[in-house]
Amino acid sequence: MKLESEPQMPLSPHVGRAAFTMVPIVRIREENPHVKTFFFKHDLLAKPGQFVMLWQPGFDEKPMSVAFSDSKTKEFGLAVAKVGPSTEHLFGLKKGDRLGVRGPYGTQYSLPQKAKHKRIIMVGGGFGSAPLRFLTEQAVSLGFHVDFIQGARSEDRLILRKDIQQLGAHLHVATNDGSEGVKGLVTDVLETLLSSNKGRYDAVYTCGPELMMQAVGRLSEAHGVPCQVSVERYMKCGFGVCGQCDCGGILTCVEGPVMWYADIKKNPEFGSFHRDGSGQKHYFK
Amino acid sequence: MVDLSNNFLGKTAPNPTVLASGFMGVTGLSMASAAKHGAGMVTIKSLSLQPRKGHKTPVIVGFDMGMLNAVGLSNPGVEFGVEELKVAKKAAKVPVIASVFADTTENFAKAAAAVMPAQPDFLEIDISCPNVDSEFGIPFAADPKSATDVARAVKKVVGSVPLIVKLSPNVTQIVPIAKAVEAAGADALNCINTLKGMVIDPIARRPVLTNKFGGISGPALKPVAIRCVYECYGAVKIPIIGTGGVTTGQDAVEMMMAGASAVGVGSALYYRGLDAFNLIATEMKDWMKKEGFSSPKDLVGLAHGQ
Repeated sequence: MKLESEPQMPLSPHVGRAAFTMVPIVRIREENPHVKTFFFKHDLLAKPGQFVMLWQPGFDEKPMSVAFSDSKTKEFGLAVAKVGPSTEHLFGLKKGDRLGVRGPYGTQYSLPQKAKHKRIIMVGGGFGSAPLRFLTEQAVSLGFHVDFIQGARSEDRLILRKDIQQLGAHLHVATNDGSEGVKGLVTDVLETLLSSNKGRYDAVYTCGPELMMQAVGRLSEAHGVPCQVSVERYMKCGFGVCGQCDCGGILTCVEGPVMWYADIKKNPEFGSFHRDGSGQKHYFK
Repeated sequence: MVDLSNNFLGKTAPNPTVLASGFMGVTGLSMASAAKHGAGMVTIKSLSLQPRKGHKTPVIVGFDMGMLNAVGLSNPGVEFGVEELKVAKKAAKVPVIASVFADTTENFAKAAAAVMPAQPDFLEIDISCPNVDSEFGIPFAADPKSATDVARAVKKVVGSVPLIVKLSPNVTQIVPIAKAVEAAGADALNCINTLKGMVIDPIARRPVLTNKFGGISGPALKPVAIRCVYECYGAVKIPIIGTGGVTTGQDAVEMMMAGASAVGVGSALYYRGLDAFNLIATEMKDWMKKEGFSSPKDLVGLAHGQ
């Protein structure tokens, strides 16, 4: 199955895509003790599922998936979890600080063109809900009924709940410790939805830990519903030259991150291992 | 009839394009993907004895006429890399070029010996990376004596596997280096590695790459590469892989007319996507048909003596 990706760059002059644009932070919103959404003034023209490379001058550069991209306000937003030195540095920045952005890169989630039921499911694990919020916005505007399953370790790890609900999606929460919603896994909720509404969903979209996405893909497939996943690999260039993000012969940055589960399930590395910045393998546990 | 198949030191490739080292070649399956998309030969990202993380990001950035990178020779080390080479040998179905680098002559020979079990079709030595000076000092490719020492030491351990030496444009004269490595036993040259450069972001008020300096590739590098290939072709008898800024079929023709027997492709992956190899090969074929050439070998060195 073919995914819609960015149009091919014209040969020359190529403008901007591999170069940084310096963009100011216009707003910072605290989502929970671990996550902040940073809004930047820049018409990014991103599609749901795509990512950018964000450069903190003097520090480092990291790939980030896009949670908001609005051409009307000419703003985009990244929901960022504090997980290491780079994001810790970012959390210390304030409104007006300028950062470098390049992109958007990668494939996007594609909504069913000829939807029979106009009903879809999002399954976000942890911070994976961020790009799915963006997809929900697009889906709702096209008249889709969206069931949004969000899973997290505990209540204080949930993100963007208000945004998702304000869009009109039906939010289902699962937490490992039961501090909010169903105590259990996102797949428990997914199983309930798929079996109680048999044959009434057009597609499932998921983003989160790889083993969770694999389980979501399997479950969707068992119910005859196509599923798209968002594969994460170590990235350096973001535009298909360095090869660092290879996943079993697929360049995740240009042939992904969004892929059909039906395609990626055959990949020998999906759900098995990923590589670090040197290229050494690390197995998923 | 145009037949693009290309003989390089006794190995037959479906066309003259070569996946240049440092592009896509982190894994064996990625190299196979490049071959599937039309690469005539594929090169692994250079391996060292020990694993390396490379430089801190940003390690690559575009500018209006090319790109600048200082990845910093990240690689999983020969022990793991040799397994990727084996995968490539099995899956790529085109000639596979191993590539190694090291900090000393002795370690170059050790790294070269370590990749031999994968039975690569060629071994390339990267003596010319411009982005690791602070760690390794001046590249071996900057001095005929150092280049000779490395080529000679590696030649001793590669047996019948042909040795390709990758030269640097960051020298006042490339010809003495080319002649020196030929005399030391190199079977082929790869001209050229990237050209050292810098990109500064005015708003950030600093060089964009964390390494500050990087290697220029892409269209901006092409005239430099054409010149280097032209100069070396006139000075040595061994074949040359011409690498630097080739993005179209016509660029490849130009490179071969300068004296290249095969053509490295890298940054074109950005400009034209994964299909860069197929596109370049098809455009070469169309051009050759229009101009009445039947084999790429008829193009080699054609611009000389005109």
